[in-house]
Amino acid sequence: MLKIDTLRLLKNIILFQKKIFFISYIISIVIGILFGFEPQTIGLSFLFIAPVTQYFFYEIKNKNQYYYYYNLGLSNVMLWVSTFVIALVNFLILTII
Amino acid sequence: MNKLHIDSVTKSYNNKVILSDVFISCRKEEIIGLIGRNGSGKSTLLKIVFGTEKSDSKFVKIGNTFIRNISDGRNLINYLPQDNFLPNNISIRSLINLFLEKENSNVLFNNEHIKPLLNKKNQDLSGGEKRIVEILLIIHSKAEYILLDEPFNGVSPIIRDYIIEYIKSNKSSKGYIITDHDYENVINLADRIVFLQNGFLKEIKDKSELVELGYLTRTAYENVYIK
Repeated sequence: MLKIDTLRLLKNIILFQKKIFFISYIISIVIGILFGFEPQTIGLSFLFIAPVTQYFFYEIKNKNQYYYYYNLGLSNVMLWVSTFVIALVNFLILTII
Repeated sequence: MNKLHIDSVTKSYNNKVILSDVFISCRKEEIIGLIGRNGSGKSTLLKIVFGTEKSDSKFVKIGNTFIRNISDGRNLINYLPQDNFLPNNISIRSLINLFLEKENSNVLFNNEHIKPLLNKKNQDLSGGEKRIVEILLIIHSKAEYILLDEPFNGVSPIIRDYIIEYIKSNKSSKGYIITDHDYENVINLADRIVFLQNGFLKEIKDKSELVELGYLTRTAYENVYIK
C-alpha cells in the first residue's frame, strides 16, 4: 500500500519536473555548445538553469499549479529539493562521463 | 471519529487584523458553510488551515495529528483553490490516474461528466469543465476533510446543481468546509453556517441574522427565505 502511494508521488514529481527538465536541458546544451561542448559544462549549466526555470515556470507563470502538488502532500520545499537533487545527479553523471 | 479542530487562528497584515482567534470544528458527514463579505478573510482562513498561508498563530488538528504544514495534512486535508490548478499538457485520464488511487479513479472514469473529457488535455477544457474535474478529484482524494473555495465559480447552473447533489451524496465519509459567494446554495447545502466579519467568526443560528450582520439586504432575505 505504502509502495503504491510512494510510486504515485514519484510519478507526480516526474510530472512536475518534466517541464523544467526539457526547457533547462535545451538551454544547457546551447550553453554547452557555446563553451566547447564539454559534458561538465552542460551539467554545470543545468545545475543553475533548472532552479531558474522552476522559478519562472511555476513561481511566476503557473503559481496555482502548485496546488495540484500540495494536495498530494508535496510541499514547496520538497519540490524545490527535487529540482536541486535532479540537477546535482545530472551534473555528477555528466562529470563522470 | 477523527474530528477537524481549528482553533486560535490569528492573522494580521499591515497592522490590520484579518483573523482574530478563529475557532471552527468540523466532523465527518458534516458540511460547514463559511460565508462573509469580499475581503473578509474566508480564503485566507482556508489556506491557513491547509498550510499554504502563514498565520500569526494556529492550532489545527485532525484526530491526534497536528497539521502544521502541507506534509502533515497529506491524506487528511485537501483544498480546492479559487482558480484552476491542474497541470497542462497531460490528459485528464492520466491526471486522474496520477492523483487518485485505483478504486477512486474508476469512479471518475465512469462518471457521466468526466467520461467525455478523459482524452482531452486540461488546457483544452472550458472553465466549467475544468472546475468539475477539479472538484471530483478533490472529493475522491483520500483526504478526510475537504476545503472548497468557491466551487461554483464559473460553472453553469446545471453543473452547479450536480455538484451540490454530488457533495450531499458523498458526505458520508468526509467533512467539508465550503465558501462561495453563491450564498443561497452554500446555505442550502450546509449543515451549519459560520459568518466571518472583522476577523471574528460567528455561528448563524437563524438566517435572519445575516440581515442584522449586514450580509444580506432585507429585500434579498425576504425574496429568498420568506415566500
